[in-house]
Amino acid sequence: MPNIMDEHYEDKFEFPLWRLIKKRAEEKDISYAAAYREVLPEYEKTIRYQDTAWVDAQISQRNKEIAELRERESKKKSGGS
Amino acid sequence: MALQKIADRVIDTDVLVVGGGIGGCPTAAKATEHGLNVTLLEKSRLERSGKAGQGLDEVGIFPREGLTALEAIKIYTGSGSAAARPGARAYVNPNALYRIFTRAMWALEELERLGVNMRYTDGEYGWMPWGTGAGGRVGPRVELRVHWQNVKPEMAAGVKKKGVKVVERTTVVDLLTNKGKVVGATAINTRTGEFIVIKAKAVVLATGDLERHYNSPTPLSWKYKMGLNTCPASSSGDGHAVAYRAGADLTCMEMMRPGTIRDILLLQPGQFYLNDGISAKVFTATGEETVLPPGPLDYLELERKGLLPLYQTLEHLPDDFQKRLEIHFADEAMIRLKLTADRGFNPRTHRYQVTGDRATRFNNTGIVIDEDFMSSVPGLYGIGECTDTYGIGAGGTATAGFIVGDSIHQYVSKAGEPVPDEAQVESQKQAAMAPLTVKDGVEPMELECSVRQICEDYGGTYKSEGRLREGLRRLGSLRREFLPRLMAANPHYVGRCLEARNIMDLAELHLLASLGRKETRGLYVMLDHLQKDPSLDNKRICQRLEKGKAVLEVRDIPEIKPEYIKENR
Amino acid sequence: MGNVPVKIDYRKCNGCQRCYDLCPMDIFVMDESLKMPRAAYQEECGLCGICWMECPKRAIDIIYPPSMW
Repeated sequence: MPNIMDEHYEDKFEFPLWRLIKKRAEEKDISYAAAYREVLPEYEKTIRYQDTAWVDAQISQRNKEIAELRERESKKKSGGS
Repeated sequence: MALQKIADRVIDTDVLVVGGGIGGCPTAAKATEHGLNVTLLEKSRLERSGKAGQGLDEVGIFPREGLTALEAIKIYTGSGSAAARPGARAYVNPNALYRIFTRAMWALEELERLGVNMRYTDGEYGWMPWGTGAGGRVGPRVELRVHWQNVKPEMAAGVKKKGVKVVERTTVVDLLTNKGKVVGATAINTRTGEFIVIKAKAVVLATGDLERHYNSPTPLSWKYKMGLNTCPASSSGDGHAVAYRAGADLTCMEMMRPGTIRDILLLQPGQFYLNDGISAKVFTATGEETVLPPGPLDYLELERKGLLPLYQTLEHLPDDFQKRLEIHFADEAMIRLKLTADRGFNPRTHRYQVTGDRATRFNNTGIVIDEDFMSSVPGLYGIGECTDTYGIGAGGTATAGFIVGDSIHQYVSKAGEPVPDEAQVESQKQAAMAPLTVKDGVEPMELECSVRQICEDYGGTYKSEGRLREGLRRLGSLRREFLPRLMAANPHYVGRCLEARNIMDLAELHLLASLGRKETRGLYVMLDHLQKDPSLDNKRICQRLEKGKAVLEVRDIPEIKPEYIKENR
Repeated sequence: MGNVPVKIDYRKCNGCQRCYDLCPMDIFVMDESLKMPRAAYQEECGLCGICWMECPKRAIDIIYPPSMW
């Protein structure tokens, strides 16, 4: 029986933010905590925090998918044997 | 005075706050504004203590944009939804919650006054929809995203500026009571070994959660047993234990919260169920998409069908939300950026195991408080995770802290001089210092781990009467044989011994309390009592110590006061 | 030393004591003569990473033990 984990067990991966923090910490010879405070403002500029309409649309879309999934599951439970 | 002979130091204060975390700091700072002499006891260092020590990514809930406190209470206490934080939410005190929710915006201002940065880097507030495991609620933006990696250093600076007497590296031993009311506490400095008596007119417990009576869902090494997903120092239930031993009412000590993530130390659920509102996807072991089952019994059903383990994934998050996730990690516990890189975790591809059948820490269980945050012992207050009502994490706890700090002068002005009972002080000192004199005894970590193993084997998510009783027998035996043989080579280990004793007292209470709830309801499962007990509908079970024995009492869950309903803020 | 949660690189450590000051579980002791910290109570480390992120010289490494893997 296929197990979904066989494909996705682990990828060695560094978060881009972590790479940025490490680089800044090494460049300026400061703590990781201090480096984070420095890189954060630039990183945040690329995120659409204040675009509330877009954020709400993403959330609603996902909620819709979940509602449809729940409906399919309950149909299976009541319809199936 | 004879106290000076028993103690290495005697502190005289109006208000003693035990615990310098996200609750204790606001309490202490605010109380000074009413001219009170305030002492803040902290077992580690104020700058990085408690669950917020590593940082936090969100604070909430702030009823606003049309969401009232009453509506927030309804949502929080769950009316049937498989909410993200299952557990004892239905048993909270809605009146204390009402106080917290109606003063949340005020607390936001107070936090800023204290020197805590509440804004995002663009200077705006990061308001977000209320995130739950079932997805974000599109509508009022009532959760505040914050960059709180440095919340504790900021708070600590603010507290010290207010003239609070901060006593660090000092662990509470027990509360002092006289004629039924609280008159202070005893404590030990775990670096110098000083035994300290604090005389206080009022005591506020802000000591955090209890988790160390069970192991973490992430398997722990044979040697390194503190890798729980949050701050171990504030997870030993110190406040629960000292309140219990002082005769205060506790509640819901039988309650568990099943863990949701196997690799909880790496992937703390705080980030993932929030996801700024986009829920994770869930898959069975055979690759079928599904939803998280409501309760532990459902996991057994899934296993029968060959569908376990369940896995969650974030592969569907848009890039923008993947970046937010990285920032959550950095804000809440930056070490996880590094540990996930070592371990191997790519949120764009990874599927991580969920474990709804593994018992983990409590939620909303502990010291019973009224809407003024006073316990059943006069002069003893409680806020945050050591109480029955902590109103959604850091936001609720900080708000409760400000409320208590702002109002405690009313009690203090009528309290009278605190007069400790010297015999009580002496006996607390003996019990606390005894491990220093023991040779060839047992180390506190070993005793703690034995206690945890009993809770794992004889308590757990799926309980049964017989197994609980056997667990209690074994705990009793451990207590008899090894508590007197707890050994401390130095003051550091004395601190761990104090924690081990608290954990043992509370583990015993937990198993006993479980025997008081012979039913299955929600997340609480007794395999030999699979039906609900109707006599427990709308009730909660309280526990207290009477003449050395635990007494259980079934009581009504408090109802929201009519004047709050009328006020409807 | 084997596999322990906290490893200090003494070539980088400048003896500032920040780890010793801040550790919530108090696992460090200061060596009086060398003025350097030592992770004396490894078993009590909670892997919180506060020492790691606060160290100004990035001299601390936190190792995720294999049994927690």
